[in-house]
Amino acid sequence: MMTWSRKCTLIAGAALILATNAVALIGVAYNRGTETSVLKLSERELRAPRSGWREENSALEVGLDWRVLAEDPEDEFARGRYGAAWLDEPKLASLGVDVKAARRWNERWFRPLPEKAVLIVLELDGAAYQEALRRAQARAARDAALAAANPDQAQILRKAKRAEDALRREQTTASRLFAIDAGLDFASLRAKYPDATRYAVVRGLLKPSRIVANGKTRFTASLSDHSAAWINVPLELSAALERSSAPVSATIAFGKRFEPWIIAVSGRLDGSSAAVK
Amino acid sequence: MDIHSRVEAQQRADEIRVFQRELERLEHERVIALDDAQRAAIECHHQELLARYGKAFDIDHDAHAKQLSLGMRIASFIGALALAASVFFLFYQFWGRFSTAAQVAILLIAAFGALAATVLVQGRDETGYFTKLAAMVAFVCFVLNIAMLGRIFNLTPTDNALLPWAAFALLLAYTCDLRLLLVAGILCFASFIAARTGTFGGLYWLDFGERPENFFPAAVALFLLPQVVDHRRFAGFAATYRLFGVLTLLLPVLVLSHWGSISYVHADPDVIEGGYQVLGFTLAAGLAWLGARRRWPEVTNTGVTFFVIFLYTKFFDWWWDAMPKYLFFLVLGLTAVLFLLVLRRLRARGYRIFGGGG
Repeated sequence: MMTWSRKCTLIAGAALILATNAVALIGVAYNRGTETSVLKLSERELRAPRSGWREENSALEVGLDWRVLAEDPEDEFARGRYGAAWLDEPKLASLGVDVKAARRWNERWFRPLPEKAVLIVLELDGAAYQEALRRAQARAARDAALAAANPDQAQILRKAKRAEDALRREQTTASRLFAIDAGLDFASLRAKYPDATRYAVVRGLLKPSRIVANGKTRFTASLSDHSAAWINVPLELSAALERSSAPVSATIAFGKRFEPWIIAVSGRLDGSSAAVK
Repeated sequence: MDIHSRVEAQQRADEIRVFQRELERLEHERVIALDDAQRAAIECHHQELLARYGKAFDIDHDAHAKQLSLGMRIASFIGALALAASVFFLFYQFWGRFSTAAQVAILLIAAFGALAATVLVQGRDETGYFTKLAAMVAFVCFVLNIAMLGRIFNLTPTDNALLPWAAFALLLAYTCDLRLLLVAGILCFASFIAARTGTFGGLYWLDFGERPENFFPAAVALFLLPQVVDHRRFAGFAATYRLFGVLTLLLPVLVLSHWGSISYVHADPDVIEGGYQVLGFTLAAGLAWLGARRRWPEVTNTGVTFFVIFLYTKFFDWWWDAMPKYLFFLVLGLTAVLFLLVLRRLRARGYRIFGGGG
């Protein structure tokens, strides 16, 4: 009978480590073999690194700051990822959410619908952003007119100021990256949105939810990213960022598995830039 | 008799000491009288065995040494966890200062180095305490290796990572005879099965905890594994599998008996909760019975503990609001007394209903 020696442990353990690393790195190479989308983002679309871990974590990571165009045009902020206008019941059903069954569920027996893994289409500076801008302008104009007609009404004046601030934010700092569609098949999404420099496809999660209002029940969902939540900035690029006070632009590629990586970043103050070959 | 592990050697040494004390008593009470040749033969055999075990497994020779060993076990457990955390934070503190290639190289070297150190320490450490420390650090280095590759290259999280982690932990557990690593392997393996079950049930894999029924297949696999695979060479391993099998079964049942709305079964939550309460009582009692019958104390104790938990949580549901608090706790106390009486009666009957001896 063969006895298991310490040498066998070493060989088996080393083989396991090697094989697992090889599988992971081959996956990285496969993903980066083909760029499915490349977006050039400004600091408006890049989230600041997490602060809580900064003291313990020496690496730099950036997040994509994207949002959805809310169904309600009166939504002053439109910064969230909940209740996108296009995520109606037929769309949810096409993404595999069993809305019909959920509608049949007894009120007392109702349970949260499970999250679904989907592909999300992100649009950079497109029609969705223009609509968000138009809504902010319309709100600001309406509230300013109302304030002009009621100069002694403090509440109306405050509302007008808020709308003006929201418009300024929308024009200067708010993200122009919007989730505009979702699907389960990349090919059909790419056929619908062929411009790979304006539309990126990322892996995401869709969490359906039910809204009961005025005796009517309808379903919507919130979205979250899943493959592009935080993107590691390699040392070669983070050095360039650290010479600047704030990242201004980053070119981010998405591969075959929709996993992102940064191919270039640049900072504003000293004009430094770097790119990965 | 072949002795394969420190636990078995220690058990045999304890039995020898008990035998020696009892023999002294029997001779003192003139029940038996060995002649000098017999006494010398027994003593010589025992001394030889104890010396061999002492050399091979560093066993405790008396009660005082045993107490110190317990302290060393606790220290090595806490030390293993602390060292593992230290490795994790050390990498986090400095990884941003290295290029991508250097990061990958450091992760690989750390995983290989910690594994080699574990094997090296194992060859020189008869006690097993330092091997446990090294093995835990090796496991954390491997977990860190794969998790950080995910961070460095922005990989999508996947449950597949749980499989190599489980395999690595089990490799170290079996080759170094470490139950701490066995527990780590069991947790990774159970999480993987639960995640896959959740995926089949239409959940995103990370949400497997949202439906506690996802843990049932893992519970069955863990409980049956020591029945299928012979674990006699690994002291305590079979019991650890059974213990985690029972916990993986009864904890979800306990959760579902209070929150029926998170079940896969689409029915009135009250009916689901009632069903799981009945199932919980039945399973807990059945496992206590099975454990007593098969001489699995870990199964009996866990079954009895869960039976009491199920009972007390029912008491809470029924009477916490309705009764004055002194009466509620009096009922709990009286139930415990009733339990003691029942168990004492069963013990007095020699576990006949459990198939035990008279």
